[in-house]
Amino acid sequence: MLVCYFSRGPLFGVRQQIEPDIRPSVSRTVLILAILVATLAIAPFPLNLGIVWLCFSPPLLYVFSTVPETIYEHRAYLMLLGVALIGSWVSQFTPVLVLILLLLLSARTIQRNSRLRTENGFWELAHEESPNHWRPGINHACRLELAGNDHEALRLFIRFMKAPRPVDEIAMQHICALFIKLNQLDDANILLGDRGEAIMRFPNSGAIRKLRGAMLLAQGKTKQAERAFQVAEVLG
Amino acid sequence: MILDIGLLFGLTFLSWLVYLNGINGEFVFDDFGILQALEKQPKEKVFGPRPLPLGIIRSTIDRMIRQHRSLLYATYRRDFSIHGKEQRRGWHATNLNLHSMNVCLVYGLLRAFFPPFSAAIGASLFAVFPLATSSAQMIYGRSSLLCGVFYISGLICALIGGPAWVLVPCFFYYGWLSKQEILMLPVAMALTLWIIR
Repeated sequence: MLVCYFSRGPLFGVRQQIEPDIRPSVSRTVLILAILVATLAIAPFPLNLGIVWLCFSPPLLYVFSTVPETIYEHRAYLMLLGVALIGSWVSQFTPVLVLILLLLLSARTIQRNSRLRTENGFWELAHEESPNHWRPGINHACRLELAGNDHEALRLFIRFMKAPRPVDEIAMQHICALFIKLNQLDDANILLGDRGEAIMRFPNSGAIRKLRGAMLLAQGKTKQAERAFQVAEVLG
Repeated sequence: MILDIGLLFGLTFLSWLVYLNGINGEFVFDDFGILQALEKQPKEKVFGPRPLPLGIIRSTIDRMIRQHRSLLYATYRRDFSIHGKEQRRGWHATNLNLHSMNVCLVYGLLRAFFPPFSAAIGASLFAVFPLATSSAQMIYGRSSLLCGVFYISGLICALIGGPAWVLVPCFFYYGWLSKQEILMLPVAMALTLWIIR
């Protein structure tokens, strides 16, 4: 849980949205285990029980999962039992502090709800919280494109041109389509021209060939466009 | 007792209050997969992996696998038949009811260690913590909420001890019908009993 997906902010409830690309780190595992054992040894009851409920909760099951699956924060729901117990324990000594924390967390939850209540907001928040991961980013870009925010979508897709397969290909297709849509034919030609980057990188992609045909058609090169469409058909 | 009941009402109100602005929220991401599957086969169980060929223990494992999450999808089918795709409010209300139930159960669990107000503060943290947003707000997050009901109930029974132990296998079974996360219940129970021994 702490090692794999939830090490970057469970106390604040952010950066948890989607983290499919993080791999477990051995050094971090050892460090966290050492801190955990030391804390359990010196922590009084029931604080130690709270730590146990926090760490040995259902999200722990997913640490052992090597399936490249998208992980969501709802799987950490029962981890909050530990947070509740620790909160109760702390409130015996500093109730005001815990009440202030309660108010801040309530405000944060209400704010998150208002953003997560729409599909666009969902992916926007996911991307914001995991800026270095391609999956929320590419989904956010697709949502922007659907919403008609082409320039912003293009800016995001360009960031994912070097992402792992098949995201790079998907990003490239969207970039080419957007260049053609926005009538930026010179830019489209750099990608879809005779020795264009998209053509060179994905020579067997039917979708890229189709986009090349569309670009040639927009440039008025009808014969070449027909040939490109034929190739696209063959490639499927 | 009256104080406990009053605090439980307060906690239920708080759980609803913080999520009220998302009650009409759109279906997002995996929610669409659930809706599509329900539209295709609204009457039957439409989810879950295929049975595994496991020889002698096959029938038991098969049954467990086939039944996995069936309770969860029963709640989805119920919402689908009552509210359809349009009335999202009803779907979200089911989630919020389950979340409120969990908050009340957490209060009961914490009462084993703390006086009423401290337990209520802990349960309030559970109710409003932003990490719970995905479970309480998203339809697909209901699996964790439903599993949580049986997980926390199982822990309470383990703490009560005596005849309450009889209920633990029932909660484990119904937890399994909700989500695989219930597999951590025996571990959590063993560690809890070891610490409080």
